[in-house]
Amino acid sequence: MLKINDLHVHVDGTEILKGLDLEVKAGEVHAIMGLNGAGKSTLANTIAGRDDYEVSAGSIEFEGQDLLELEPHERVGEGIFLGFQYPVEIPGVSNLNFMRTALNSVRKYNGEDDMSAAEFMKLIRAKASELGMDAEMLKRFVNVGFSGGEKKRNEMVQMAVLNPKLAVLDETDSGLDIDALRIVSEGINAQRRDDTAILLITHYQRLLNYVQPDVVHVMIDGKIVKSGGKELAAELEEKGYADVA
Amino acid sequence: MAATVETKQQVEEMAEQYKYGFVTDVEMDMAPKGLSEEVVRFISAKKNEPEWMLEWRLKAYRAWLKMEEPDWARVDYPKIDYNDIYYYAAPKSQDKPKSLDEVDPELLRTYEKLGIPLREQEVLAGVEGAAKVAVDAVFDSVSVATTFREELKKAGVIFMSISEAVHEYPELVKKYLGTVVPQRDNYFAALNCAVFSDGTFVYIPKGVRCPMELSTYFRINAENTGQFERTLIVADDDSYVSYLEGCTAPMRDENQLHAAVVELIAHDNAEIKYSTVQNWYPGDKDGKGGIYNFVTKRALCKGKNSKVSWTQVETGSAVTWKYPSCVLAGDGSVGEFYSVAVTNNYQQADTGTKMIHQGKNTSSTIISKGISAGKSHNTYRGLVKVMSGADNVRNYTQCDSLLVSSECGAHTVPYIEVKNPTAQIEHEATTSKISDDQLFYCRARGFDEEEAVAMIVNGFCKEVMQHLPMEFAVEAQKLLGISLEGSVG
Amino acid sequence: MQEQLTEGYKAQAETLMGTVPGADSLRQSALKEFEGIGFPTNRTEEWRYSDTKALRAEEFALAGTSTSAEIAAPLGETAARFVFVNGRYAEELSDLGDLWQAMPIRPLANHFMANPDRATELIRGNDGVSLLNTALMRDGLVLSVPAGIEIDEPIEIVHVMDGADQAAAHTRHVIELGEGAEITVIEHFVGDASAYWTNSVLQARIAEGAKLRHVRLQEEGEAATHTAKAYVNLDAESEYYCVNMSVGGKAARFEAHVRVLGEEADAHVDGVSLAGTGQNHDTLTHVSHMVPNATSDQIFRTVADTRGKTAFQGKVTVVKDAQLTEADQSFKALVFDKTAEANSKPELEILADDVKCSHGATIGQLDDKAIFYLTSRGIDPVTARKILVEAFTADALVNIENEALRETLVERIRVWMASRAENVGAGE
Repeated sequence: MLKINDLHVHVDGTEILKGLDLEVKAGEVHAIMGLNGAGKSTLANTIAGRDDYEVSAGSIEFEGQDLLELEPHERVGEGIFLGFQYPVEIPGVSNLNFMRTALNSVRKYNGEDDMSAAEFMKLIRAKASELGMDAEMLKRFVNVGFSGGEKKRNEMVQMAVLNPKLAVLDETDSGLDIDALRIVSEGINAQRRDDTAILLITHYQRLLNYVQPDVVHVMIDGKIVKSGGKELAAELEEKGYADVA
Repeated sequence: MAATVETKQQVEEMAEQYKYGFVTDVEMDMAPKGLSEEVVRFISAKKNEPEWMLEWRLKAYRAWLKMEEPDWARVDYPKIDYNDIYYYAAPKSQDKPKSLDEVDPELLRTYEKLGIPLREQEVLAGVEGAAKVAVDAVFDSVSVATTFREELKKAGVIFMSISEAVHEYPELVKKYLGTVVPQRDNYFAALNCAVFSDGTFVYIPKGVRCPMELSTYFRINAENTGQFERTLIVADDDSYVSYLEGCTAPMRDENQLHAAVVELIAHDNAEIKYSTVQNWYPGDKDGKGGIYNFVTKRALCKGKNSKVSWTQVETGSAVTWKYPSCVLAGDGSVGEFYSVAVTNNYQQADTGTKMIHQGKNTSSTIISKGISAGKSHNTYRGLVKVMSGADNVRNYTQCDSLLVSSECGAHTVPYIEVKNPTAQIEHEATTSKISDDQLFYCRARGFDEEEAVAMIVNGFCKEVMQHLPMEFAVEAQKLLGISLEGSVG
Repeated sequence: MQEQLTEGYKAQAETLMGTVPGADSLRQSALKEFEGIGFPTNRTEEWRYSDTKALRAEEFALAGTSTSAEIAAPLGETAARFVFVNGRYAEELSDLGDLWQAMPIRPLANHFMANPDRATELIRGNDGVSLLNTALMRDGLVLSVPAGIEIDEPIEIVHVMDGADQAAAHTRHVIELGEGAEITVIEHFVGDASAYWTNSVLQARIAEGAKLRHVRLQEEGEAATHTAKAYVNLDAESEYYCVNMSVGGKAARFEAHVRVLGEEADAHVDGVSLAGTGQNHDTLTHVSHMVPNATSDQIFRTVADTRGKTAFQGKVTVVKDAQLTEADQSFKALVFDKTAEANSKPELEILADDVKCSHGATIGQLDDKAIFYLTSRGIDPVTARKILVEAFTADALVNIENEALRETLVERIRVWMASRAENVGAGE
C-alpha cells in the first residue's frame, strides 16, 4: 500500500530524514518508535504533504502512484489520514461544518455525490457515540477549548468518518490518561481491517499494549535502523534506544 | 558676547524630590538671545566650523522658518517664543581642555554631585568588576570632557564630541549627518540642524565589539537656554556598541527647551543598543517650570541582519515629545523599543515609536509601559508600517498603562498600516488601575503606601527594565520610586 | 475649488429653504461652518485613511426623483419597511405593517417642527460631510417607540439610489426609544452603477432600560461614495448593539459615535468590511463613557482583496470619574495580496483610574496551520480558505440575535468570497 524509498527531507534547510525506507502492506499495523528529534513527525507530515517539508530525494508511492505529486487534500481523497500530534484550533468553524465539508470533499474527489445532511448527521452521531464523544462537542468550534484528550478523541472521530485506507497517527497517545488511551485504542482497532493499514508513531510502548503492531521500527537520526516484531517494542522499553540499535 | 549667570539657588536649597535641581556657578559664554541667521553664524564661528557645516546649518534654518510647530501630540503648553531663548551657552574657557586637570573644578564638582565619573582613575579604583563606562559630558552647549578616548582609540572606536568630529573626521560626519533624520523631518529637527551646539559622535569600525559602554551625560545649567544636542552613532559591518544617555537640569521656574536629534546607522550584522534615562527637571508639583523635551531619535537599520534596540526610562521633563524609531531597511533587520514613561503632577508625555518595515524578513518588538500619577497625562503613540515589498514581517506590540490617581490620563494611540499579506502583526493594549489587592498585600507585609506603589510599579516595568545595562537599571529603579513620590493619598 | 463647491451647495440649500420647517437656520449655520472647513482630506486625522477625492473634485447635485428604481428584496421578515429612493421617502414602495398602531411614525419635517432644538443636539464633531447633511437634509424617518413596547421583527430602512450620477441623497433619521422599549432597525443601502453619493445620518436616543439593535448592510453601487454616521445616546441600563457590514461602494465610510450617559448601560459596536478591487472601506468608532459602571465592546473584522483598502479607527474615551468602566476592542484584518492594505488605529483615552480597558489588533493572512489542517482532512485549499474567512468574520456577527438575519449577512460573505477564493490568503 505504502512504499517509501530512500526518502530525504529538509526542513528550513536542515536535513531531517536521511534516506528512510519503509513498506506497509494492506492489513498491517506498523509502529515507528524513536526519541524526540529522530524525525518521526517529519515523516508523518511529509506523507500528508505539508508545505515546508522539502523532499530532496527519494520517493513515496501509495497504491502504486506517486504521492509526492499530490496536494495534501488530494492525498486525503486517495485515502490517507493524518492524526495530528497537536490538533489545530479553528475558532469560528464548528466541528459539524468542518467534518461535513471534509467528507463531501473526499466524496467529490472520488466522483461521489454529497452526503445528505440527515445521513451525515446519522453517521457522525454514530461515530461520536462509539468513541464516547458528547454530541454537544460536535457543535463546538474545532478543537477550541478542548482538553488534550478531547482533541485526540476528536481526531479519532474524524478518522472514523473519513474512513481512510492508511491512517498515519502522529503521537496520538501523548498526553492521554488511561481511559482516553483506551478509547483512542478502540478507535484505532476499529479502523484495523484487511483493506486498511495503520502507521503508529510513538515514543512509548504504552499504546502498543492496546494496539498490537505487526511490525515495529526503530528510528534514529532520520533513518530506520532496526525493524522487528512486537517484542522489539518491549525490548526498547527495557534497554533503551542506544542498546537496541 | 559674554554674560555671567547668577546663581539663583544654592545647592542647599535643593528641593527634596528633584535632587539634581542645583545650579552650577560658572562664567558662561553666550550667543545673543534669540534666533537669526546671525546667531547661526555665531554658533558656527564659535566652533570654528568649516564652510560646508555652516551652509548645512543655514539651509536648515531657512527651512525651519517656513515650517510649523506640530500640534498633533496630546500635549498642551504655552506658545514658545523662539526669540526669548539663548541658543548657545558654554562655560568660558579658551578651548576644550586637553585633560581633566584643565577642566573648571566647578564643573568637575557638578558631575561628581550628579554621580558621573569623569576621572578615569576613579572608575578604575571603583568596585572590582564594575563595568567600565566611557563618558562624554555635555554641559549646556558644549562637551566639557570625554573619558577613555585613548583606550577606545586603540580598539579603533571613535568616541568624541561631534564638534571635534566635524574637524577630525569631516568625511564620516558629512557622509552620515542628516541621512536618517533629514533636515526638514520636523520642526524641532530642523531647528536642531540650524543651532545644534554639541553632542556625541561614535564610530565603531568593521568587526569591532566596543570594549566598554559609551555614554553621554547631558546637563542643562544656564538660564533661558535651549539645549540642542546632536548624537550620531555609526556601527559598521559586524560591530556592536551599547550606548547610554542621561540627562538632568536645575530647577527653574521658567520652562526650558531641549530639542535633540539622535541618528543611528547600523550596517550589515551590526547591533546598536541605545539606552536613555531621561530625568530632566519635570517642574514643581504645581506644574511650574520644567524642560520641554522635544526630541527626534531615529535609527536606520541599513544593513542586512542589523539590529537596533531602544530602551528608555522617561521620568523627567514637563513636556515630552519623543518617538525613537527604526527604519528597517536591511533584509532580516530587527528593531526593538522598550519604554517606561512615568508622569506625575502636571507632567505631559507623548512618546512611543515608529517601526517602518521596508526590508524582507524584518521584525520588531514594542513593549511600552506608561504610568500616570497626579494630574499628568501619559500618551503612547506608535506606528507599525509594513511596505508592500517587505515580505514576512513580524511585529509584536504590547502597551500597558497603569493609573495611579483619579485625576490623571492614560492614552494609547497605535497606528498599524500594512500593505503586505505575509505580515504578522499583533498588538495588545491594556489600561488599568494599580491593583488594590496588590497594594494591600504589600501594606500587610509592612510597606508604606509609597513603597508599595513603587514596588508594584517596578514589577509592572520589569519587562522593560531588564533591557537596561545593570548599572543603569539600578538607578532607573530608584528613579521610578522618586518620580512617584507624593502621588499616593 | 472649495469656493466653487461652497457656492454650489449654498445654492442647493436655497432650494430647500422652507421644506423642513425649523431647519432653515440650522442649514444656514451649517453652510457657514462648511465654508470655513470644507471637506476633510487625508490630512484630517479622523479621515487619514478615507478617500474623499470624489467629494472634493466636483459638486454633487441633489438627486432627482426616480420611479424606475430597482428595490432590494427585504432582508427577511420585517415588521415594517421604509423605502427611500434618491433620498426621498417612497410611500408606495414602503410597507408600514401594523407599526403605526404601536408608535408614532413621522417624517423628518414634523419632528423638526415639534423639536427644533433637539434636531441636532446629538451630533458631535461636525466635519464637512455631516455639516452638508444638516444643510441639505430633506427627508428621513422619525420613530418614537413608546415606553415598554417591544417589537420582535426588524424595522427595515432601505436606501436606494437610481440614476443619480454626480448627485447625492442626504437623509436624516431620528429614532427614540422610550423606557424599556426594544426594537431592531436594519439599514440597507443599495444603488446602481452611477457615481452617486449617499450621505446619511441616524440619531438615536435610548432611554433607561431600552434596547436598540442596529444592523447596517452597505451594498452601494461600484462607483458610489457612501458616508454615514450614527449618533447614539444611551441612558442607564440601556443597550445598543450595532453591526455594520460594508460590502459595496467605491469609497465607503461609517462612523458610530456612542455616548454612554447612564450607569450599567452596555454598548456594542461591531462590523465586517469586505473591500475588493479599488474599494476603500473606512470605519470610525468613538465610544465615550461619560458615567461610571458601564461597559462597551467592539469587534471588527476586515478583509482586503486586490487593490482593496480597509481601515478601522476605534476610540474609547473614559472621562474623569467614569470609574469601573469596562471597555474592550478587538480588531483583526486580513490582507490578501501586496496591492491590498489594512490600517488600524485602536485608541484609548482614559481619564479615570479605576477602569479595565483593553484593545487587541492583529493584521496578517490566514493561518497556514489551519489551512493545512483543513486540507489534511480532504478539503481543497480554496474551500479551506473560504471556510476560514467565514469563521474569521463570524466573530463580528455574533451579536446579531436574529438568526435568519445573521445567516443573510453570512451569505453575503460567502457570495463575496465565491468570486475571489482563488486569491484568498494565497499570500502571493
